[in-house]
Amino acid sequence: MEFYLGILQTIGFHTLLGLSAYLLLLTGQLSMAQVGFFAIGAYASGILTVIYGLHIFLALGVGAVTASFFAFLVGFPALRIKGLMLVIATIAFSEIVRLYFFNLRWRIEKGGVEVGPDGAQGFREIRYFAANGWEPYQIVSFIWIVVILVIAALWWLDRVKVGSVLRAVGEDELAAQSSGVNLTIVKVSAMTGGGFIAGIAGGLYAHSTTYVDHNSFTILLATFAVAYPILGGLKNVFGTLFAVVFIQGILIEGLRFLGDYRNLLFGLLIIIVMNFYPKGLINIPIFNFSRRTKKGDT
Amino acid sequence: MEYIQISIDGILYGSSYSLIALGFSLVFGVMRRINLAYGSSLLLGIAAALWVENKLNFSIIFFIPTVLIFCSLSNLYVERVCFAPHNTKAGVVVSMISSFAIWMQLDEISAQLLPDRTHSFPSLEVSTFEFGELFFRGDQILNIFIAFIISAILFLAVYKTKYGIILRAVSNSADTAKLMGCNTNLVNSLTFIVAGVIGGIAAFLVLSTESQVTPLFGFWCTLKGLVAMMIGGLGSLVGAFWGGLLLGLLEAHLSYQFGPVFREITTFSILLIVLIIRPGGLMGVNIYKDLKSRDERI
Repeated sequence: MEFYLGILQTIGFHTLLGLSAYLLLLTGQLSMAQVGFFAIGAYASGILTVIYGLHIFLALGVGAVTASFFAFLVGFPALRIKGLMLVIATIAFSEIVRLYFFNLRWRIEKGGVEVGPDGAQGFREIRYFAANGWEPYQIVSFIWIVVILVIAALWWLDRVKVGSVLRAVGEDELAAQSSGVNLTIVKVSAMTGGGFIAGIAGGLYAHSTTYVDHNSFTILLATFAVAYPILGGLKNVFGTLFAVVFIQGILIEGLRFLGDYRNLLFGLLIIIVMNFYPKGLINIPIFNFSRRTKKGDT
Repeated sequence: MEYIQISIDGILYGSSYSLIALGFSLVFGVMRRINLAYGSSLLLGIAAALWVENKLNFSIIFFIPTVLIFCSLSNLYVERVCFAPHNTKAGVVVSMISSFAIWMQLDEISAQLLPDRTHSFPSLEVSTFEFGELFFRGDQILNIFIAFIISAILFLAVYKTKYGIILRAVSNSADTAKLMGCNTNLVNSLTFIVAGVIGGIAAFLVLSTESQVTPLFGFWCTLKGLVAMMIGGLGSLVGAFWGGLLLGLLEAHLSYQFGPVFREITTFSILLIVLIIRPGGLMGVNIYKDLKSRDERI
């Protein structure tokens, strides 16, 4: 049972991370900075609950706001650079964040034990859930409530004008600008929103694993974060969810019995899906719940 | 005198970055794609060659061609699987994600071929020598010499030969080149093979100066090659050469001033600053302005 709850937790964080990249991809920005915001959220909320003893909700909120503030700052230079250059620039940002936390040492005495981030040793004492008697199923339901709220918010965003504006910028910047869309506001707010979601995901991750270190926030995770929405498709939010379940649930956990050979098959399966459905899993007919059934309609 | 020694060390070390960046630059220049699996395909080439060498036990004269053959084969595999199916404009992101998926696969195969964490690598028996108070490592001088020769040959081949014209035509506009009767698929595959040969030489030289292989080599290659390429200039062969040397020089000085932990942080900060101020790299601005990809949506 614990094992399945663990998988559910992992799927939860990865869905949030994927959704934060999804929001940016709608505006046509491919950002690898999500893992940087994730790390900022994780460390910030961890420090708030451990060192300052704040309540979890408050700590998560402040962590997410901190992450979204950094995302806001990243958003401005990101206006100047596009496409593959943005990918490299955001990789650089994520690595700077990771290396900052790699060097961060902030140990204080608390109740006779030393707590706080300890450089390369990582941040070990994030035991808010255990200290306050949360059961594993409560933690999982808390994470999933957040996931569902975020999915609902993004779903709603697609139903209102904001969603069309975001997609218009993603489809053709020049045309959107000519129709009176302010590119700066749209792009920077998409980046900020993405940073907020990634920050919440980071806070949840830090508290449910009780331990974070710089190795949790590598480029690998950043690439996973962008891989989900692309593999799932940008048609709607559920594409990302499908992709996370496909990769984390089926490919990573389901192929565990293969042992070392899992990674061989894992890469190949992603490639096969990409070859057959370059526009995403959501376009596979079994996932098609829309009224229109015309082929090639995306 | 101390500063001169550090500068020399940095430049000599940077020559290995230059070599790797050349392969990256070639692929980016022709296809406008980022191959995240480049380092891993080099690692796989090295691992396969070492595995064959263990089985057959032959001398270093046969070892070098084996490395080159395996590196170009693994590069060709990456091209066929990740880049050939997605050579439309919309496929830029998809091919990047595919190359990420294949990265994990290649790393896993390398780990199967070389089960130890570190594996010794045949080193070239070149001694160090002194010039006044300055020390030079012979193998690193060989590196910089070979890097220079390769970039000169590549430059001449691209700008002075008929094959170079075909290459540049495909790079400029693949569709037009196809209409003029160029076999773009073949050109792309050959580019990857050449990049594999250059990468194989680079990997061999880098590893023989360090005289050991670790599983992290692939990631190291991808990251350093990418950064050196971006600093020097996108798709510019000369830029890649100078970018690598500049990166080595900066890293050596900054890690001497602020300690080794700052080595990586400064690398990424430099990259971020260069990208924001001059997107397209220090030497690639003109090329970048011509590039339609600047405004192309990724």
